Amino acid sequence: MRWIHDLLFRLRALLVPRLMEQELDDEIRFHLEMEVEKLVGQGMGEDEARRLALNRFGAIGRQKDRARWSWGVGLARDLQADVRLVARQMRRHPGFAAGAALTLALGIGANTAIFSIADQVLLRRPAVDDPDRLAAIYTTCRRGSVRCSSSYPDFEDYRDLSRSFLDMAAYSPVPLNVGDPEAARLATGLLVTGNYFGLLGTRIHVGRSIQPSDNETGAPARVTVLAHGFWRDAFGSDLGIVGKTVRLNGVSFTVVGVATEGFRGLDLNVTPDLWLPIRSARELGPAVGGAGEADAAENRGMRWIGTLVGRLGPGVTVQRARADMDGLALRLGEQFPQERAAIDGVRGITVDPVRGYLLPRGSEASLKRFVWMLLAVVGLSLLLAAANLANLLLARSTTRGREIGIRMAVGAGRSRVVRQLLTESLALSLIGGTAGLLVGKLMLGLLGAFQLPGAVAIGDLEVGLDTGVLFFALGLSVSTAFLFGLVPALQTTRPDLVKALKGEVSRRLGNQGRLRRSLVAVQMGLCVVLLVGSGLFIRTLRNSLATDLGFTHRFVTTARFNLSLLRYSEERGVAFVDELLRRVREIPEVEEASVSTLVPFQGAGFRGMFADIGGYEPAPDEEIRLDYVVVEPGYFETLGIGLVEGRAISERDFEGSPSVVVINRHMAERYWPDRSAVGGSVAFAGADFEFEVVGVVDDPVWAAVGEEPTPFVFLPLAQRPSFSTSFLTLVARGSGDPRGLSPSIRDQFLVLDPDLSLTELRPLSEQVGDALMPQRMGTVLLGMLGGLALLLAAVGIYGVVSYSVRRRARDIGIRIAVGASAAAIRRTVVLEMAIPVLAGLVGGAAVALGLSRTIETFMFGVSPNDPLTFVAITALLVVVALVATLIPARWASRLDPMRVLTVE
Amino acid sequence: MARAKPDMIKGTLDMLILKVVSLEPMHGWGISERIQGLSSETLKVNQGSLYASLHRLTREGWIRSHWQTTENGRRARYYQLTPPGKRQLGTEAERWQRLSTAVHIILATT
Repeated sequence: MRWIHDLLFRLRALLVPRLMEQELDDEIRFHLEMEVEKLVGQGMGEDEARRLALNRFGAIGRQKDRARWSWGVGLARDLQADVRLVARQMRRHPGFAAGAALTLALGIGANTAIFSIADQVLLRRPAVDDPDRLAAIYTTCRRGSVRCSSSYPDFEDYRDLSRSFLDMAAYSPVPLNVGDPEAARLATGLLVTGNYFGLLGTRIHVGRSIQPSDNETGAPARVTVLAHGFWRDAFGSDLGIVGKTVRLNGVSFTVVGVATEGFRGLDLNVTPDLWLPIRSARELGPAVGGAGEADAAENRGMRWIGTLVGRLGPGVTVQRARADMDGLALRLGEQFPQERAAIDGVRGITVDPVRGYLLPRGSEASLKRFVWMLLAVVGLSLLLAAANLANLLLARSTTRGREIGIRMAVGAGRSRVVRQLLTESLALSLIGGTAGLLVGKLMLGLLGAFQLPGAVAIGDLEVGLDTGVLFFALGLSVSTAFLFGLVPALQTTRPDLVKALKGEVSRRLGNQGRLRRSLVAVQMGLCVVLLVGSGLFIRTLRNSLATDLGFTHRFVTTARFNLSLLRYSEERGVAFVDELLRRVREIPEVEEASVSTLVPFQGAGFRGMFADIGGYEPAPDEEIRLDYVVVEPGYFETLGIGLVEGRAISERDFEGSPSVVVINRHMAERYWPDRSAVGGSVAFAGADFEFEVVGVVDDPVWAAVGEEPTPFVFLPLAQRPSFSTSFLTLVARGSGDPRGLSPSIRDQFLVLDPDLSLTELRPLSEQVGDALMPQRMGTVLLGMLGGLALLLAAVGIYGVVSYSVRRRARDIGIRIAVGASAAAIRRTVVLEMAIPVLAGLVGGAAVALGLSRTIETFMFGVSPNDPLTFVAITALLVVVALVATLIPARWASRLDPMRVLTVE
Repeated sequence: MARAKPDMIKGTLDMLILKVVSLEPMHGWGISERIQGLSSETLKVNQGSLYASLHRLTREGWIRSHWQTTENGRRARYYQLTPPGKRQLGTEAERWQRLSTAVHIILATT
């Protein structure tokens, strides 16, 4: 029963507050009248009685407030009132509100965008059952390279002989040509074992998943499961898709199911379009690499399976699984000494817990580090924005001091006023946060073109404003509001403010000046950190761009293709390449052209081959491993790779003529240190003949500026015809914008084979640019935020100084009146700011020095504590601070003492 | 701003209000006068907190109010006890009795 009363009462208070107020007013008026009447009855004068009655009753405002609180809707009502007050404040000072909301929108927006990226890279769990119990398993290549591919027998051994896993599945990505020839498109297929879907927890939208029976040794089923996004984009979400056939590399596969939305396997940078039974790889032709070989399932030494994934048994820890697999690796090493041999001993087995999406192998650390750096940068910017706002609010508290003093004098409690001020901060922050979502979305759009380390394209991640990100933005807005609102609110409502109102001298203003000056110091410090960071990135970019790459990408365009996707034979492949080159060279704008298996900055790995060098005695534990590129004549000329000695690959090198190689300078200097390499011989492991070295060329940069050169050999494609059906790249150099070449090059491909899909039809300079993406992104982001920080800091300093001189206008006026020079006044004002500015600079520099080491991996040609950057940034900030101080200082020095002293 | 010493032991104001309105329906000012009068001016009601208490007790459903004209022609809000309020007064009075007896015993100990 009680709760009904309570509810009815509260409802009434909420719904008809005006009636309740009216009643309360009437009640209090009646009370006071009765009291006055009583006192007059006791012989007191009317006026005095009224005064005494009021006095006895206490501050009416506060008493009414207490009565209202007893209605049980105080909070809701206060909030209502506060929001009205805030709206009024904002209307009265629209400039301040807009400025504050914009600052916050930029700060929160940047944080939202970066958080959404970080969420994908660091936090997001793959959409599979219980990912905590999964482990990724790799075979070791050699020390320092412990996450390499496994062979199919490796997989069977690990699955059958380990005791730590309930089950183990294998998968490997393959490039696919999907669809009929006239509308073929390139897609990413994921070859999976039959237990893959079961082990991860079947995620199927319609139809069925790939089953163990699909991988029968005898007749692997030609079936496929489509990814949800691919189903939508390529098949218009056709609900009748199950049972239809789709052509993959020219072979018909039956669609048996569609995966659920959001299921994209376990890897961050592999987004599968289709899943296929792993044994069906043989049907797909040689394009799928080792997987397509006839003995792919039996050959122990052919390691083509990218990742194995196991589900840990009940109670089995990753440590135990590691110990188990270490033991197994030793046993397998004894059993298969040849196949399990690594350069430095027996191949090991690596077991990694699956914490989130699997990051690109080899780039895990730098990717994480880069994302953390981005988070730190945007976090610092938001801190800076908060410091700036706190400063502005403090400045405003002076002008609002009177209003607040009056409110407190008529009985508003301090907590009540603090709450009201915080409501105002919160409102600003929420408006900023909402606008920040928009800013974040825009930023993600802009950042979509960038790549993170490990060639993770931000555009390919599923970044966006999902629920998690929305909550993040909300939480950020609320905590930011407290961050910048609480101190000014407490400061403004300090009890002695009431005294200040009455005209008493107060230390408060001095305190406030100190507080604001420390905020300036914090701002300067954050500025140093952000600007030093962007300075280091800018220097890295400049150094990278200024470095001689050993080749030229000027006017060069590329086109990548793979004839094996269309099941070309070796002979047809050679003929195709010959005809293609003949036609491309005939294009009037083309000056040079060639075809090769690799061009610099292509990103694709090169496989090292073991070799013996004629006349070179390797040290006992030295391995000679050569990276190789197969090229058509004209390769060095097109790319501008300089010939050091001998001759280049030419038309003289055809099938049947003596086998020749051209080597790079690094290799020549390493293996022929004291004589000419030309005329030397190289023998590859497994080949029963030798290659004659006919030329030496310069070392081009292959992947990253600053890389260590490795020994490279260049082989003529004519003498290695089997490479005509691997991934090949056409390079062509024109005399102008390479983009202009692309259409005519595409035409030549179309004439020769309209079914062939081209990838990377773009200027080589873009690929070179991609390699520097993280640095570019760092430069752009840090530069933008650093610039913003600089602006905010300047505004902060200006605000503090001008406030301080206005407050002491009288003192300054007196000093001028008694003969102080303008210079002396300016000096006083500037010196006052010197301490916080210098403290901020020194503190910021110290922090920057500590932090810059964490981004050392992304630096090139510049030390993380590069003195030039530090000095330049500090100097820049000193100048900015000086200007921001001098403007109000000049104002102070020109004060007219007569006017200041007569005012008031 | 030092807090004023409470005029009354916390919680007793509610009980006294219930007691006073149990005698006859009464308006706020009358209640405070009556408490002071009955206690021979020993107990002073903080007039401000009176209305907060009255509204809270109404919300609890222990008293209810209506507007009516006083003998000298003013409109005033009169509060009167409800049956649950009567039960509540009983419990509180009993609790107070026990408490004050206990305090007495301790103070009487020599």
